[in-house]
Amino acid sequence: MKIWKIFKTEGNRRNEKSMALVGISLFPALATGVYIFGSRGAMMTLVCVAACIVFEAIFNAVTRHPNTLKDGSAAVTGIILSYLLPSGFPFWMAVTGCFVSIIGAKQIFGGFGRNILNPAAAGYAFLMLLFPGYIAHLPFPSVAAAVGGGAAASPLQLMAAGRLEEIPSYFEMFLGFTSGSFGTVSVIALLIGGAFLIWKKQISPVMPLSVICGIAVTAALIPGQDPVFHILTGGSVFGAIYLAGDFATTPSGSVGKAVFGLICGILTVIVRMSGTYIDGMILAVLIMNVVTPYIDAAGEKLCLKGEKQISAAETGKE
Amino acid sequence: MKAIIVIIVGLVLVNNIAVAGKPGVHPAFRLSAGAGISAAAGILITLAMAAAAVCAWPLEKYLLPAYGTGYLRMTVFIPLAAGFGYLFSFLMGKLFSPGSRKPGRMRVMMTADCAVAGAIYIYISQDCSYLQSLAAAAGEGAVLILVTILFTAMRYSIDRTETIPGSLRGTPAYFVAAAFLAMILTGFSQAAAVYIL
Repeated sequence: MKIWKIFKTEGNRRNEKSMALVGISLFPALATGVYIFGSRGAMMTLVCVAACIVFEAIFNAVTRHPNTLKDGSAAVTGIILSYLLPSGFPFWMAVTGCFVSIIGAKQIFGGFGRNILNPAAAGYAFLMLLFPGYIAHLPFPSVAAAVGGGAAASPLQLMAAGRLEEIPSYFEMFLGFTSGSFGTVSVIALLIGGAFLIWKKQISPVMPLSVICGIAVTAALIPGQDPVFHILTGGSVFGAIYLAGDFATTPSGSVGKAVFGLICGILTVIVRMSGTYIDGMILAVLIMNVVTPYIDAAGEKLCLKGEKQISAAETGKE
Repeated sequence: MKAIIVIIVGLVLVNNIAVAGKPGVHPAFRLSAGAGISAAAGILITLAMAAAAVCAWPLEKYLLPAYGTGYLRMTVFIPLAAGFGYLFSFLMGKLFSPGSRKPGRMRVMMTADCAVAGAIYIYISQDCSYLQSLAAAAGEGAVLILVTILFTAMRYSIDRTETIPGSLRGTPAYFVAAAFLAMILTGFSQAAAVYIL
């Protein structure tokens, strides 16, 4: 229990700095998103950030909660939520998602560092269940619009529809020249952001790697599935870095992170294969957020057991 | 065999009564005081429901139709389920913690929860065979185990957070958490339905 409390306190001390660094790391994805889908996505980001800040300010004022705006978490939640949405998504719906993210998933549970679920993922899941048609209505990448027209579909939607010959190449998916959510399509931009966060020690490399391993191994075990395709598409890299990398809603220990990431990856592919949603990553992250206390408790028990064994062995030697 | 697996897995992942139906939310709230208690209560409800199904099926298929009283199936099954719930929790109290006050509370909870689960069971077991109705009863218990264990984790996080505003502490925060859990499981149920149905 004490180990857990120490972890929480350390996390909260890093609020402002870590949120600023996360915000900086998201810039490459913003730039590529604007290049691929046009400026409406950037407008969406501005609207979401503004809505999240306003909702948090209103909540703090109504509940007489200390001012938490300066920690920057509301702005980061707005950015992440806007990246998950298609650039053509209606603004008022996005604002509804911001309300659920900030008020429902974060502030009601005690604010930043105390939330049970990742706020942006919770807001997106709400929108996904409430407005599935709008979420699945993806824009055509403007850089490829000159080449061909027609309805846009993400690589996962193409796979679900059996239109395998239309799936973009690995290189196109790596660069992000595919249809999809505004900020999650460009793997290279996300990798730059992720590498920056790992360099600045804001996230542990264990979590993203274990999520990717979980996805790759599960896809490899299912006949006819391509692990590389599953890694490059559907926001796998975005989810592994920015959703599963959230320190407040994920296990504190390295082993716990690995377990969380692996199961998250497995669930992602299973939900994807059903073809029900545009992606399974969000649901996988949310359900793993719920079971995080169990993973932490198991990790603490194992730590204590190990320490006892070590101390018993040392006593025996003496 | 496939039908039985489909019934159990479908109940847990697709037709999850504990989050999709109003009556089911109540047991999940009360049973989520601790992971151990949640699991134990869930197992007892599974056993009680299975025992009730063993007795109720012949009554429902042979005795009630013989007298033209098929409309009494609910009044037959719910007391049976509640009775077995009470009996099993009573036996557990006697065996594992004699003299403790907790089993008394547990007995009341179990009786009510078996009655709730029994009411749902009736709707899904109408056209089932004997074995399939047993599987449906066991699936009811499995639903409660899954939901209460997940909700216990959420309650654990809420209970040790001091920064929740006073007006939202406790039950209001639990309700919001339950809504999010229902939302997540609804998402999974739609995906699971593709595999199962």
